[in-house]
Amino acid sequence: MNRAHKITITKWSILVGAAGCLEIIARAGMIRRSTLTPVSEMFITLWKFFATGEIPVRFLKESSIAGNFFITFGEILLSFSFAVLIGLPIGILLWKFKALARILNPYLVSYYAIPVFALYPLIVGLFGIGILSITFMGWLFAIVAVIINTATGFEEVNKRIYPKVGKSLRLSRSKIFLWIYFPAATPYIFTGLKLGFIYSIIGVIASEFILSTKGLGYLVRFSYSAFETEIMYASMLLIVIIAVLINGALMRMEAWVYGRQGR
Amino acid sequence: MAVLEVRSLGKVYASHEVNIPSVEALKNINLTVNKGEFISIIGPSGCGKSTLFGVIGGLNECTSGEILIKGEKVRGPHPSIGMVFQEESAFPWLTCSENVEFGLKMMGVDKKERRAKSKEMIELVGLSEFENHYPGELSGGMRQRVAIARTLVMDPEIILMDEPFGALDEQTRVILGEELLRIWERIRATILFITHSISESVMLSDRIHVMSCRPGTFKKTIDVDIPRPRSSSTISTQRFGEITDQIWKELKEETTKAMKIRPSECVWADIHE
Repeated sequence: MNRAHKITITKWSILVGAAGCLEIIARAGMIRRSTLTPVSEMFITLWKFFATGEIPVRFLKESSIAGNFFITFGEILLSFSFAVLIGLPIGILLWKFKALARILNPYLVSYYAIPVFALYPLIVGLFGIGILSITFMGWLFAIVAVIINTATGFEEVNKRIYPKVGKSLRLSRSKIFLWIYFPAATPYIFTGLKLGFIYSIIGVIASEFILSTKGLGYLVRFSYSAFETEIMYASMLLIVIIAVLINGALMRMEAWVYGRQGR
Repeated sequence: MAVLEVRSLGKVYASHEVNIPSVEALKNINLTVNKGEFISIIGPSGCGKSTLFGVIGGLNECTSGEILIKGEKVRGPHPSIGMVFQEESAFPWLTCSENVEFGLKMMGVDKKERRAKSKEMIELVGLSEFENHYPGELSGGMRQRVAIARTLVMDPEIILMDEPFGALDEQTRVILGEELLRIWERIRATILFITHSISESVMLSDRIHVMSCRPGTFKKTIDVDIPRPRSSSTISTQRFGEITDQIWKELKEETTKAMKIRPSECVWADIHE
């Protein structure tokens, strides 16, 4: 068995071991069932969600699994799309206008030090409880990652040589931007998009705990307060699985973007 | 008729600040290049070689004098001029063939024609096996071949090269130099080659202009009468040694002078290029 092999096995055994420990702790009764359910049961409950298409909790406004999933996913996509649509141009403006960048820089670098979730009463006041306020929170959380990475991406383009190549081919300024600067900045821009997407997920799920009556985050909170521990864990598991899958897809895309450039 | 003519060209980097003096980078440069010639310009670092390259290529403006291509006065980048840069300029996000096709694509040449032309050029620079590789997967020498092919594919009558092999190791330089001669003989273009390597200039050129240190001007012109075709064995001939010696004598004085220029001035001129 070679080294890489051993590393792979160790990597996976951490996950399996942790799950196994939780399973044993729960089964042995070291922690009450109402606090922790065995991991195997989490999977079984989750499986039941999908088998029946329903979440078996009383008084739940949206009880179909697909309904909850699409609401949450829709909010994530919406907040992410707006983060990109507004963040990309702002990032480009920051790169084009250095004075603007210098003015906004202190705000941007300290942005993530501020816990935006603490602002939730304000958001409720502005947008009420529902899709709009959640999407806004996801957007608020994601946009600065997109802005900063876009600006950095263009900043890092090799200014000594690429503009000369464009000029020597007699390209217009807009063509130089579109065909040289933009692709040159792509790896950074992509990093911004990846982070932005992850921040959108965090922002949306976390906001659903407090600002929602539907969706996967709300499902966790509702089942928690309804003492439906099994359903709560199954919902948490579902969120984790979705997040891991999305992250895996983004990492693959990133490897493709960077790999092409041999970085 | 001369394809390229440079008449009493000068370039001053004007200073806008009180405590920084203006820098005269080029002064009274005169150059006549005939069709099919291989001309080298050699000089100490910081003598304005790259400035001259930029001005002839139309990337920078000159402050006096004029440039004529086929008898016509030009300003800005001219379609009959192709440029190859010292820095790595192959785009890392495009494959070899996409890099070579880039200029044609921007001109709106259709895909089929682009493919055919780029294939031919890639073959000419000896990268056929690597058509679909990204520059990141190639060596420095190969990447510079991509840059050369990208310029050649535009079918320029005059090719300006600014120390194209400057960033490469000695062996690769010699090999690429030979390759360049082979390519030049095939395409029959006119090449204006900027270098600080004496042996490279003697090996490649019909004529060598030695530049003085700042303000850069042509101090001496040397005809290289070594018969073609030349190869790496040319280096060991007596005539090669004589010409090399002659250039070195001219350069030595300038290089010593150049070393005494305050580095701050050089940096300053760099920024403005």
